Amino acid sequence: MPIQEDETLQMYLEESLEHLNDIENDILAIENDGADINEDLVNKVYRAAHSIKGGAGFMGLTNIKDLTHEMENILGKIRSREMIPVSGNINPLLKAADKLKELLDDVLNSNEIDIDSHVQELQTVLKNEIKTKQQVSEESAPADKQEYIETSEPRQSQVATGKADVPGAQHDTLALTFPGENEVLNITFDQITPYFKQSKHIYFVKIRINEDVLSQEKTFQSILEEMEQTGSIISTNISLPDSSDMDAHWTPDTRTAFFLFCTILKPTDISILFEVTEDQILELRKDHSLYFLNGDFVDTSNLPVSEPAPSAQQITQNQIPLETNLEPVEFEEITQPPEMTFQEETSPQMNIAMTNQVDQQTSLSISSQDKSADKSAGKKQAKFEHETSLRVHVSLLDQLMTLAGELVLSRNQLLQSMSSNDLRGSEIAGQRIDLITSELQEAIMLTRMQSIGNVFNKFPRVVRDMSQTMGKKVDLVLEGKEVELDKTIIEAIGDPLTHLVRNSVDHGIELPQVRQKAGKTPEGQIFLKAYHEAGQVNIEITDDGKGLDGNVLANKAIDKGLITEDQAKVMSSREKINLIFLPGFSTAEKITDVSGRGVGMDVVKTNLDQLGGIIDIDSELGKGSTFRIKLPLTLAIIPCQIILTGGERYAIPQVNLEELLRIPADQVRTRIERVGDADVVRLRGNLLPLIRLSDVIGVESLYFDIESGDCKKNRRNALTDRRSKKSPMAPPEEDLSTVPDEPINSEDRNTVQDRRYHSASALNIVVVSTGTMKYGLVVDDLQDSEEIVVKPLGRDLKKCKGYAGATIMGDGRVALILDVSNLAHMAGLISMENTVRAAEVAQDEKLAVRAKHDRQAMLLFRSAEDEQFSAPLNLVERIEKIKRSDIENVGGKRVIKYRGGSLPLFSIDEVADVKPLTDSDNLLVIVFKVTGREVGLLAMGPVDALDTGIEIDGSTLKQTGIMGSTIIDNNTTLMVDIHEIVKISNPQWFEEKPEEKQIKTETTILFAEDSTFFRNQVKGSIEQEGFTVLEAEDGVVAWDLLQEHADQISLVVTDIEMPNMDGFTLTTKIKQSPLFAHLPVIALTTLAGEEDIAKGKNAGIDDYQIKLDREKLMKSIINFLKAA
Amino acid sequence: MAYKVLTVDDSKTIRMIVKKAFSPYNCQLFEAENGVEGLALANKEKPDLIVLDITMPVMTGIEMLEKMKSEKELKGIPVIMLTAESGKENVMKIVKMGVRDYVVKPFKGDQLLERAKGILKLKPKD
Repeated sequence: MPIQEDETLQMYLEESLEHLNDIENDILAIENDGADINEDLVNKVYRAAHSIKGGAGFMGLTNIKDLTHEMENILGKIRSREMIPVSGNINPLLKAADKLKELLDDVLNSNEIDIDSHVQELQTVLKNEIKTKQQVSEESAPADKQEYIETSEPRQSQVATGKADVPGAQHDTLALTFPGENEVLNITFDQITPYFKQSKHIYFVKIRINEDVLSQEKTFQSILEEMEQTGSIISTNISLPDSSDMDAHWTPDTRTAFFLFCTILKPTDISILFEVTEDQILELRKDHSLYFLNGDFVDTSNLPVSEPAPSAQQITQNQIPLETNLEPVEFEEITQPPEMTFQEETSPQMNIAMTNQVDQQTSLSISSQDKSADKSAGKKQAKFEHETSLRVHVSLLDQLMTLAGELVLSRNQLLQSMSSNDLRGSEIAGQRIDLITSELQEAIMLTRMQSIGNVFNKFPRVVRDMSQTMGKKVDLVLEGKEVELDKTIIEAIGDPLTHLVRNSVDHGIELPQVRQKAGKTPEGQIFLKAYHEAGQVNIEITDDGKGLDGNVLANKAIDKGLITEDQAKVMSSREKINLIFLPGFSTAEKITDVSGRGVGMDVVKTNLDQLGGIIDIDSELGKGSTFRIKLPLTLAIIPCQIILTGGERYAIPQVNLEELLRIPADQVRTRIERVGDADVVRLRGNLLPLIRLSDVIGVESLYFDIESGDCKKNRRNALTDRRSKKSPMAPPEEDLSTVPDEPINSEDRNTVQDRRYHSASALNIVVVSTGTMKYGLVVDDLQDSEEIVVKPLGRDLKKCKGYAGATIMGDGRVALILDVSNLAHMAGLISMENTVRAAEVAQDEKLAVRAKHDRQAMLLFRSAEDEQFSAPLNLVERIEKIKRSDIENVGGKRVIKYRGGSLPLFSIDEVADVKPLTDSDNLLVIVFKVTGREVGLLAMGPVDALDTGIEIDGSTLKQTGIMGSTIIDNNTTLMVDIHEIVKISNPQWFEEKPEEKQIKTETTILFAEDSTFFRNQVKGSIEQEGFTVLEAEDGVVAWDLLQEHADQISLVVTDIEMPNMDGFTLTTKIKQSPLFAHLPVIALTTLAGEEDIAKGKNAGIDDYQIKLDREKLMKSIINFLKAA
Repeated sequence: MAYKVLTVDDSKTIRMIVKKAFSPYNCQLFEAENGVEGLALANKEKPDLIVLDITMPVMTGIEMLEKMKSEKELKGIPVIMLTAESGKENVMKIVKMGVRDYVVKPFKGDQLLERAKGILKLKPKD
């Protein structure tokens, strides 16, 4: 049967694909449930397979039908709890589901795709199951047939048998006999004709009493009952007693019983009823001939017949028209009018139909042969396009309709106003159209949105299959399935994401044993998360596997000749990790079939680049990796930064945009340096390579001359042309005699007056990122950022690599969209700066980062006009402005009413030898919290908070109440020790409980800190509390001390940023050593960023404390000691 | 007079095929997606024939048949059951329950029609 008309097929495909979408995850869920099956779920899958199969049969899709049939068999077993879903039987199911998808995708050619292996696999599963099942249930009795006795129709059998008792009454008789048997059953045509009219089947059955009944432990009566329930006995050679007299063990006195039995059961199913061998059942067809169940004609002459018997064939010669008016045997259901004694013309058809029934197998195979013949002539080219329709929620469609209506209204309004020269009206209409257009755009975008779940949902399977083949245990967590993305993007990110997930399983997650050794759970975790952020979609793939080893990657890249050793030396760990994106890079030592074909990650990156997305890796060795992908919501309309170069406008997609940098003319020479032959800009301790857009795309750079008011050509040859003396590209007119080594030295140059120092000559830099690298694009001017509609480039421009597309600006002119990664290639930019200078800067950066970690947020204030104090900002609760008159003197103490209580007040000069508190009327109270109480420090303004790198002099100006001094803004600033001040004025607050004292005297604490000031400070405060302190100036010393004094130390307090060995490493070492793992580790930090805290928790840090928050630190120490 | 034929199947495709098969004849087709809907429609329309699938969500064909057989009004309506090859155990069940006929899936429209012609006097539409 040829493929049915498109409409039906279309509907079938849509329906089937919908079923298939869920089938995979459902099968996985079934596997997870194991023996404890969720019936609803199994039913759902079963029905899905069933429906697909059903439709396939109609469409003549034999392969799909066969495959789903086998699937259904297994699912049926699972459903009836005859089979426990384990990976052994689930795997073939999943594979079959895949194949099915393949078949459906190419439905027109599906019959030619080879599915034998799948079918066989499924059949094997079934066979094995049946075997084991048979072994189990060999003994269980097969008698369970009483169920539907209520609905049986005993009357029929009586009618039929009654007739059999009066043989030969009519002239049209038929003698039936089995080949090789003597016994003949005589019937009349009248007996059988009505059944044929009802298109029932008539069977001639031989039942051997001993073999088929007694030895099967059945009773003859049960067989009779079965027959009566499923059809009617037309005739038999045995005389049946009345059903009322029949006792359960009645057996006829012959050896063999013959029945002529009428039922609706088809030849393919009849053997369920009669559990006898196939050759014991013959079918009596309308031509009054006997056929075997397989459809073969019973040719008695060819069979070994002991005695010549009147063959059925001979009898069938008496062909008599089936035009009799016999009352049909009554059936409850018969509702047809009596004139239903049959139209002649349907008979032949019916014959065909019956043949079809019997020959189902053959006819099907014939039809498929037909088809393959069809196709071998010309394979159907037209792949069936089933992705052409999209489901859109009706409400959305309604919304679109409304908007379209609005748009029409506004247009009418506009036309009207325009024709009547009503400027104001046009304006209003214009505004409306503007509004409606954006709404319309949004709504239309929504129709294209699909949830990322469509992509995510296939990963459970991917992960499961892979982890199974690789012997890993992986737990996949999906988050944010509902996040929606444009259809095109959804379709395009499937592959890259799959690759990343596969990579995570293959390379990321370790084998269970390895994981256990590393102290991780044997089960690895992969976390897939999608979320919206700033108009983009972020996708994160996180694994807690072994992480990427930058050095290994770098070595590999060197081996493969992708980079040089020198380059590798100066690369940051991040850059090294990003090497993985280089084309031709594969890290797997063994190339597996799952991933690691060496084309992986760069393809991922290219794919994502094409989507306007970027990818970024964050990885920590031994801890796992995170791949972060940023994608635009849609490809059609994107927000862009518009820039101007050479008088033309260009658009830079916002995804690529990191920041805009404007370097004022007078800073150009301090910020811009030349490294080798490249311009770089210093940006927060990093060197950022610069590209001049005008150079790359070959236009003339222009600048706007404010004085003359017009655009002039930019004559600057290099961004830093003053330093170009040391550049090979140096213009000859410059003085070559001074060759400064330092890029930023000679002051005298700043005095040179040229237009570059004019404000208009500031450098505009767009810092763009392509994911792997960041660079600065020097442009003439920066304009607005706006949403642009992406238009593909014309054919002629396709070759211009630097552009990703074009758009039309508001004034109708075309602006090109820049492709920042290709621009970088065109400029010959490589992602790593291979110079010593970069290494220096990297070193600087490291120091800067460390310095940053040792920075302290300070509150600056004064107590007297000319004396500046500071206190750690994190200790400050509040700052209140008060009047001197608000202060009350009660009980010899100064207090102020504060939040319904009395706040005790202090001033620094009470304790420390500093200038007395100002006598101004306006005072400040800085509220601190000490020992759980709030205290106020009287001070005066101006207050300021700043982040300062601390170089604290802990000796020169140290005195009671003053920790030390530092220089802030060229002022010597005294650091107040608020704790000490309060302690001196209110010693009774600090009395401690005896039990705590007990703990303290016995306790030694190891304290690691590189800054002398902090070391002394914190050590002092810990010692004051009565602990013994061992101090170390870095992690290495601390580790050594720990080894030496292993038995004394009961707690470790460590700084994070330290030379030689930092706090994280120290903690990791401690926690991994069986000797010290029990020691609590408290980390001290000046700023506890969340990432740090997370990192620290991973390393095993038990608690984080702020360096100068003495009280909390003590509390924490005591808590840990108590717990121990 | 047009016969009322009710097709009960969860698969749109099958229902469509059933509809198509009957479309040249003097039949009015009703569709239901599951046994519950089917039962409701059967009560309302009293069809002359029901083409009933077995595997359906909510209420299977077998359950629906059971319900029909226990209702006086409905037990006389002839039912052609759609069964699958894999569901042979079901065949016995439904045959015992007294369906008028059954068709093994996949079937062709003509096959179904042949079965139906054994029950209804189908005439081409005029």
